Amino acid sequence: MDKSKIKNVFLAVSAAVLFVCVPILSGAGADNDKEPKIGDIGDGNRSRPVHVINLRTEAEEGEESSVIAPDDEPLMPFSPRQTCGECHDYEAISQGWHFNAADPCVDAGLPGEPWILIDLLTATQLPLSYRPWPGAFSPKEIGMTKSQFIRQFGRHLPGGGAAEAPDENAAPSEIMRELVTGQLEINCMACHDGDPSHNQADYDLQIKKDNLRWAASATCGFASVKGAAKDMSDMWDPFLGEAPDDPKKIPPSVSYNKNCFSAKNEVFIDIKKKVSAERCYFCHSTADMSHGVDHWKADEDIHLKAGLTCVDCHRNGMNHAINRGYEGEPSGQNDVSITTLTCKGCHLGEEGSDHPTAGRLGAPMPTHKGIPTVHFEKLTCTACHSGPWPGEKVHHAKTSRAHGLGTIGVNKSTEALPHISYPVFTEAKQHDGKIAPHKLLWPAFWGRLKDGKVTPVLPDVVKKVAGKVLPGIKENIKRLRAGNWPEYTTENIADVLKKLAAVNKGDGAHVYISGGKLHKLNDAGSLIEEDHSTARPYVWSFAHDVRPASQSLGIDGAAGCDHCHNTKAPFFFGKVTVDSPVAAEHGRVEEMVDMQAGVDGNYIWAFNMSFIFRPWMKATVLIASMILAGFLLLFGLKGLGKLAKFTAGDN
Amino acid sequence: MYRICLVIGFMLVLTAIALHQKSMRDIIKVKSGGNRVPTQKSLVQIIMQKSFGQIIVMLIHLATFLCFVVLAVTGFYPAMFTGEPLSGYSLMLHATASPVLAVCLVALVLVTAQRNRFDRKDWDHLQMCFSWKTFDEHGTISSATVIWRKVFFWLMILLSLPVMLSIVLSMFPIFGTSGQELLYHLHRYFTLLFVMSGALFCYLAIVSQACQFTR
Repeated sequence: MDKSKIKNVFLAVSAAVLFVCVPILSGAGADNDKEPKIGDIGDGNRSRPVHVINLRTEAEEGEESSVIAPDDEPLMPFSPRQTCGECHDYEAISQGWHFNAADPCVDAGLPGEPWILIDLLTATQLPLSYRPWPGAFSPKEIGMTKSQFIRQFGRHLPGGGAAEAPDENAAPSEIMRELVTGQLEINCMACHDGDPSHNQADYDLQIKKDNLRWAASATCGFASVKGAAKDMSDMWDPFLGEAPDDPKKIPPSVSYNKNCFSAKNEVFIDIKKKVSAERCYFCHSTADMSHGVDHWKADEDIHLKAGLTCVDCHRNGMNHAINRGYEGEPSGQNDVSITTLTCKGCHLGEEGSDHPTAGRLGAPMPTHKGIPTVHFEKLTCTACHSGPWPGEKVHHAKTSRAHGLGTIGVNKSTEALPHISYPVFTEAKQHDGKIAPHKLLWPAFWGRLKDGKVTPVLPDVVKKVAGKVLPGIKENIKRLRAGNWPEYTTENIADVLKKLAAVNKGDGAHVYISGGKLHKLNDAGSLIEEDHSTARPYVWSFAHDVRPASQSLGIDGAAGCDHCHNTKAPFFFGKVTVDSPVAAEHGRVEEMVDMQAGVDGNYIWAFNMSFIFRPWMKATVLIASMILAGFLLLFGLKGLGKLAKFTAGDN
Repeated sequence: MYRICLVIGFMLVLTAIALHQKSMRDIIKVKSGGNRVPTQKSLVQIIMQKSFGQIIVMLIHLATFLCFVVLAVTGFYPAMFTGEPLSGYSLMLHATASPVLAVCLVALVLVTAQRNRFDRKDWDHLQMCFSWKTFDEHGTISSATVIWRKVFFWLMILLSLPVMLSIVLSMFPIFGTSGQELLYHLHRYFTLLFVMSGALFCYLAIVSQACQFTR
């Protein structure tokens, strides 16, 4: 090979290496050297940064976003990505806990409240989550597209994450439709808007109208939205804002309060870094149905009453990786300022810390007088301190996300699905094996059983195939109006399963899960039920509301033992109603102890029974101790007398 | 740590018993020319010779011993072999036997305190020990056995107080978490000492009875 050839090869290889590496290196460099935006790093000043800012439109493909002026034509809704992203790293924020559910790289942590798919006619209450929490199904797994998910649960979605990510399951029409509706960007205002006129309920209305692009603006006091993207054709262009031919169909549009705009088209937005509890409550309320609709009778969490807010403990930095507050949480394991943001951390401090950490935020130090330490090894703090006082039967709860609380037109019936029971004391989902109070949901859904695994079938599919044999609306009108189960008979289930079997394409036998059982047809075509792990309830632990210490389990000295250690104690023997639409399964209950793995019900009963004799035991041992001490004293004094005589020379 | 203490404690007790047995055997051999001293009687013979009161005393001893064994086994087994805290049916058995032992100890003190008080002979024996006088070997072992029996009796009674109070006080709303932990550890360690002295007392009481050491 001559020199010129070698030179050419060398040049070609060098060029190839440079071609591949330079963009990578420069890209990596760009990432590492990415300048933090002006709002990403605070200077330490504790006062509230005032946000007098330009509102910015969504960026059209290939174009820059523009500043919104009140006389723009057409007026566009502001884009949180562009408006807030001007000074804050939107991409970093979108990795935060509220937005990263669909990210497979994120540690799912302790199972939390799932989204619950409800369909009354098909008697479906199905726990869903993008996080791989055991017992919850992934929307993708059941064939639910992003668009369907948003329309079902967008009312309480914070936007971003899965709501913005491309959906490989989406039909082309859904992708096209997104150009009309826009995307559900992170709604920063949902949490950070301190304006009392902020109306988060409007967010749900906009989602129902497919106004995803307009949803965040609609919640703000300085903007109002009318029209519905749902009524617009796929060809409608929101950036042109043309009215459709049909005058009855109003295109979505936003109008701003012009008085809010300065001469520089800046708007004052009352942004609060320290989010108020009111904002959190929109998505994180729990209503105890034992008060019926008289919610004013319920007390709030004692921490709120003491002057704290949710974000005093549930903190996050710029990355919005909010601290969930349980011991052993994956994030911030080595940072004592984060690990002490737990019940134990604040009240008792961090063991092994080089400085005192107890009493954070003014947390009183508990003494737990008379409580054997074994309780702290077997129970979480919340077991004794959180939720309603356990009764003979579990309470029924409604939550914002499960029942759409706070939205307009929500069913206020106490019987509305999903049926969530609490407090259920179990360690089933606890990483440390401690018993904690949980909320519980009995899954009910139609599915396919293949290789021992049940995959849910969407209610729409069931209705399409077996709509005619589902329980009648007329017969169940009262129940359906209350949002409750229709009454299913075993014949109903068998009929539906037969219909589904008729269109079965060999992907496993159809089954119905409810009441903790799997129902299926046997070879003779009769309905049989059997136990199956999928039918077991989905449970997730809760920590709020925390009761005052004087209302915790075990308080009040020896009488406190009786709270859990008697033969009828709800902690062990409380009745957990097995919820089911099937009439034959009504009234079925399980005892709390059945939910506690490794706890023998007979033993606990006998152990609790022994507490009847405990006062006698204490009295016996104390009296015996006194008598023995008396003998020791008597003989000891006699001995001393003898010694005194001896030392005095008396034989 | 506690497991090591348990092993050491039990080894000390066994060593003490072995040493005592060895010295006993040597003396008995010398006295009887190699044959066993025919002072040991069968249980039936012993019972037949006893009065009603003495039988009651024996029953008290027996009940105390049984409770003692039950409590020691249920308490030490998990600490020794599983490392887990006492729980489950063992805990229930432990808690059931404990007040019975307390009552038995009171009864035992009532019926044997006078017999186990230190008297002039113990004092003489101690004086002999300290003045290096030679004396009859059988008399020595007899006196030493009796003195040690008395020592362990009173030690056992003394140690029973912290053993019982440490656990019963933890059931009252007096001590917080750190106090509870302290009481739990006090219970464990005092129990070890209590069991050691109790075991040695039992052994010496049986030997005294069997060999008819009259005091």
